[in-house]
Amino acid sequence: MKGDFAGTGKVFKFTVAQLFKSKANIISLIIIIIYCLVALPLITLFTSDDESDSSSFYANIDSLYYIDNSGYCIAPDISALSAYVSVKEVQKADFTPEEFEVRYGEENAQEEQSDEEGCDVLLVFIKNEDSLMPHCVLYSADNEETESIRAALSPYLSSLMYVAYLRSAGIDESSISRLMAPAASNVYTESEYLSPDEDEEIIGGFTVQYAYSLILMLLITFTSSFIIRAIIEEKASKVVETLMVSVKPLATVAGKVLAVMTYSFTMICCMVLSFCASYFIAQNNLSEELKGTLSSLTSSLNLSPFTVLFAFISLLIAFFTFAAISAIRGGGCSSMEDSESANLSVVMIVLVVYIASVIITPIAGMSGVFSNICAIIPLLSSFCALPLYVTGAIGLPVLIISWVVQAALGLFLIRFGAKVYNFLIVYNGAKLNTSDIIRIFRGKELKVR
Amino acid sequence: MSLTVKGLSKKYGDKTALTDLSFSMEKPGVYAILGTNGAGKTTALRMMLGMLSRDSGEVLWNNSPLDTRTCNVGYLAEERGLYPKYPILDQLLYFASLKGVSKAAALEKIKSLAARLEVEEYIFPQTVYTSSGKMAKKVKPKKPDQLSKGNQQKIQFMITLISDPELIILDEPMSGLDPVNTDLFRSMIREEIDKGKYIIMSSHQMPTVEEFCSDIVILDKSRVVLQGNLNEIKKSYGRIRLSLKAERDISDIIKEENILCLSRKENEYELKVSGEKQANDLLFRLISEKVTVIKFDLREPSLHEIFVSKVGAEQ
Repeated sequence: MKGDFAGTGKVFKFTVAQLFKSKANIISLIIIIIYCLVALPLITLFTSDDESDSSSFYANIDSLYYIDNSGYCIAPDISALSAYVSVKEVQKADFTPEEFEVRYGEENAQEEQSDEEGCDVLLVFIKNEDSLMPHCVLYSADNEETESIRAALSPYLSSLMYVAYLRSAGIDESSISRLMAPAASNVYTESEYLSPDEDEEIIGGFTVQYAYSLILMLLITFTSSFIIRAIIEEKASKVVETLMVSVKPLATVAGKVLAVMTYSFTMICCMVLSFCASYFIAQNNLSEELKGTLSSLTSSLNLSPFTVLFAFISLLIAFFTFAAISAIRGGGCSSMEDSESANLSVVMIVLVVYIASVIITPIAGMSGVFSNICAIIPLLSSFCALPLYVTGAIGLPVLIISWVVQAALGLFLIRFGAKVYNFLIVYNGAKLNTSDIIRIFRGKELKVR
Repeated sequence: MSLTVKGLSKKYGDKTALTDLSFSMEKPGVYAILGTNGAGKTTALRMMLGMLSRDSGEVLWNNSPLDTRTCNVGYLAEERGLYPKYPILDQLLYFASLKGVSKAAALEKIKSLAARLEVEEYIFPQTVYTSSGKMAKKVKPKKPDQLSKGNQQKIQFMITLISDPELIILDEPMSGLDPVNTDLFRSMIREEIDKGKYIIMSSHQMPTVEEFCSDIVILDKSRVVLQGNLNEIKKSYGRIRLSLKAERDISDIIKEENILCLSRKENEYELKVSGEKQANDLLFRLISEKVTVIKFDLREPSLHEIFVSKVGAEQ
């Protein structure tokens, strides 16, 4: 067996070199790096535009007039209002709402107001007959802007009226401050109360499961066609016989799979590094919302160095296992035209296992025995094992057993891929479909079409 | 060193691909495997190299099973190809490295073979000079898919010889080559023979085989129909071919002498005689009838004639 691997390193070296020399691959890599580099600065740029829009307010108001008929002594404050709208002056109205409407109705008919100009607004605070809470009726000089002005003023005015209502009830200022402060109460179970981080761990575990499964699925589906095409390459270019004089199919298949894996991992590392660089470039200008999202994401992942290491090992082994499946499908083709259907079948397998893992992993997490079984079931364990470990459903020994099982399966599949590859060396133009491959697996005779 | 092939047989289901092929090479030289299309030549070569499984038989190199990883074998396959987009130099270095040749040694070999085969411009960057002698620019070598079929074949021949193999297997080495390149390949094969290499060649070009090969095997419909030393095979047929050119029409005389006329072009005849006596009798008769004989060439049959007679008889 060792002899069959002789030359793997040379095949690997040559394939990696050619993958990195390929102009198409270089351009793809550059595009990905640029995309990741500019991602956060672009988001920041667009978000800050949005913020500047909101900080330049939903509406510009020239004069804000108010009439207080509520009986609660309500008076809007210009400095407090400035946090919500752009307003030049605030004053008590010495006219009725009807007079306001008549005056601005005529002005609207005579000239169209420019978007840049502010408009005058009248607020009428009125008593509510059904409850003790006051209401506010808003009159705007510009009918088109009324809705946006209302949306901008609403939070402030609601709060203003509520505070006025509380004051009227005799509540002192310190009590009002406490009442107005944001607060929430939760109901905990005893176990949650005794170990308050558990919830976060569970959320983190699920985040890890989805993030890990998604990365693995994307990695495999993106690289599957690369692997298949690399495996077909020699047969399609008719160089396979010349190659087979020097190396065995096993070395060829293994070398090519490892080469494409290396290339793909390098691409991902470039993406991650570019994204990190992008973060450092843009961090000072990131919106609070985005910063919050990123920090909650990283904190929910609860990534310790060991978790990162285990995730990396799991990803590598799982990638190898599925890469071996791609190699089997590639080995059953002898022209590039066959690669699409081969790739499709690999993607289908990956999707089926991914969906199964998404359904099974949370269920498995509830039972110790079931989670241990799921963690070592071939293929399923590629997606399940790490999330189950992170959520604490399985221990490190089971994770290590899972790695061993997956690695053994990967090696077996690579050997089988070499067998399929060897089967088609001299049948140029022939193709093996999945049922043919299963027949080879079962050691049955096969007629090549 | 010696190469022994014992009882190679292969079947695909009910279809026989090769039946009981055996031969041996005790000393350096060229052994030819001849046959019609689909006779099993390429199958035999692939089985020898272990690319195809054998139903029976074995191939021994120095009395040990032939392993292409331990025996330095150069193989020019019938299905010839190169990676279409990869630089040719990279490909040559790759195949050399697979054979365990160091990069420096490989580069040296590539340079000498490229010069010999006149393909340097396709392997190394070329410097273009202006008419004033100043360097204008460096021109990158072409990619394999931009080369003509003949030039691609030259590169493949370089791959075959790059590790200076002790056993060379050539499957239809001259097919698709123009006369100039055929001569070039011939001379290079001759050089390898002079170096004492063991060469197995499959070819349809009988003059080439006749020029190089000491021993042959002829396959027809997966079976061996003739095998042995070429000179001895020819001797066994005797001098039965007569090329005759006379000044006038002698077809009546040929008919009367019961000699089979294979072809005729004006007064030039290709005849099959039963032996030297019948040829001499014909010559005496022509002289006695005062026919001027311009050409009288009595010889053994050519390999081409043996092949056609053997395979034609089988078919």
